Amino acid sequence: MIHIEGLGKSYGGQWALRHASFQIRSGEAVGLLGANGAGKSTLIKSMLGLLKPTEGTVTLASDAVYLPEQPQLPETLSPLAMLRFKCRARGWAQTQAETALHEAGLAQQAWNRPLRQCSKGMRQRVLIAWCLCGGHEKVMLLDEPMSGLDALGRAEVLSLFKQRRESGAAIMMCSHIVPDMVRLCSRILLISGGVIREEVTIREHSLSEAEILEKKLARWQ
Amino acid sequence: MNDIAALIRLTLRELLHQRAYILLTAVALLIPWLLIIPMSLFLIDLGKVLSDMLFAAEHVLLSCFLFFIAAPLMARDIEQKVCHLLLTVPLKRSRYIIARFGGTALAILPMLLLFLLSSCAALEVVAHFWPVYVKAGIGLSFLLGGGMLLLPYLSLLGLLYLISTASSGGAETLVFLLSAWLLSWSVPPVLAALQQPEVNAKIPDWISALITAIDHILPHLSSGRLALDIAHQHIPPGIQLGAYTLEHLAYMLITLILAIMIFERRDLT
Repeated sequence: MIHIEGLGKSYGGQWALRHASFQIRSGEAVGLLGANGAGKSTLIKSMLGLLKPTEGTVTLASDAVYLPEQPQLPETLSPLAMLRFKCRARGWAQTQAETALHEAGLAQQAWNRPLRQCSKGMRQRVLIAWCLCGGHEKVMLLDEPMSGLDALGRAEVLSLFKQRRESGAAIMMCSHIVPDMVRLCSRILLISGGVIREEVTIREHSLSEAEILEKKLARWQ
Repeated sequence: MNDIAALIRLTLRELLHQRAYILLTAVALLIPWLLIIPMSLFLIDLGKVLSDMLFAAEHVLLSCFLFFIAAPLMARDIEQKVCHLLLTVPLKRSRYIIARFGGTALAILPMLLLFLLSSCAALEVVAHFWPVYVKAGIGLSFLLGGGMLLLPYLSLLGLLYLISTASSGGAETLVFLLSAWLLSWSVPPVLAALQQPEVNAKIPDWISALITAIDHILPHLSSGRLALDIAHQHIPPGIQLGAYTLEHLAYMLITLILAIMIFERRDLT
């Protein structure tokens, strides 16, 4: 589903990402864990072509759905207008927009409200709905998808992504919330200084695994 | 074409719901009637005075649209990562630029149309009350001339897209747009003055030829002259109108092509 080979990105000779190579199979979720500035977003943006990679190749089996880290959504638009745009652009039925908003758990009274009147958590749910809309994409790249959500919201969203994973999607997720990553992902890539340092396989999906991961990450910083 | 049409629609919806746009449209409706007050201070040629003031107001309105509505849209898209969402729909970068430009250009039309209709009505009312000082049919002439003024602003909009695709954000876009806008106002009159027969007689032929060439190559983005002539009921020959239209459409296309070429190559961090 996702095949990355020797991916690298440099800015004026300064490498932000180097020698990234990994694969993600269908029905697998992989986490990307690293401190701020470790190269997580650079890796995801290079995979999507938003950044032009300096070296290496990216192969994605299908169109990728991307959830950027805290984008400022157009304030005058409503959540429904945003989602309907995606449906129109892809030639999907308009009802898929409503289904996605419902699935993401956004209260119906907020669907037609301008986004400037929506809270941070509501906006994040709009972004989640944006990702879920259509459900045709088999590759999902998520940059801090739980940002701005409360504990209950995080659990709900996590179960949605689990459903997508089980229906065959390949998911890559960046997050600072290690327990969430452990719950969703079967492998975690530890990244530091733009280099993937270690790959950790998650077996128990428990909090103790999260603590081990945090310790491993601290060792690389 | 689904994606382009959808993004044009989204852009229109986004701009038309902005408070700045609604305010500008309200001003566009009111200003022709308010300008009758300063016009009444003049003693002769009231129709010409009012149409000149309306022409200046149209320049201000279109410039405000450019600086306060169009420029922030692209700057925000790039600075605040909205384009990341839109591009990963997926949408090709060239199609994204074309659709955003199309939506922005279309958003000018309702505001401009309301202004022109309101101006036309104000001029006709003035012509009705002061028939001695105002020529009949001035409203319709202003409608045509004012409409022609849209063309240089479409060129400027293309230039804005060129600037914003290469810039890192709002501040940079505004600085370069302001510079281009100021140059578009100041350079053509200087070039016109340098081509006067008295000046030409005192400078070498090659410099004179160079100045003429520069004048022909540079876009006359502030070229209200021809549009103003139409508003004053002096309809220029068809070939001149055609050249004026072609010039601005060509500049718009050139700037858009350059914008696409730059945007295709840039990193979206």
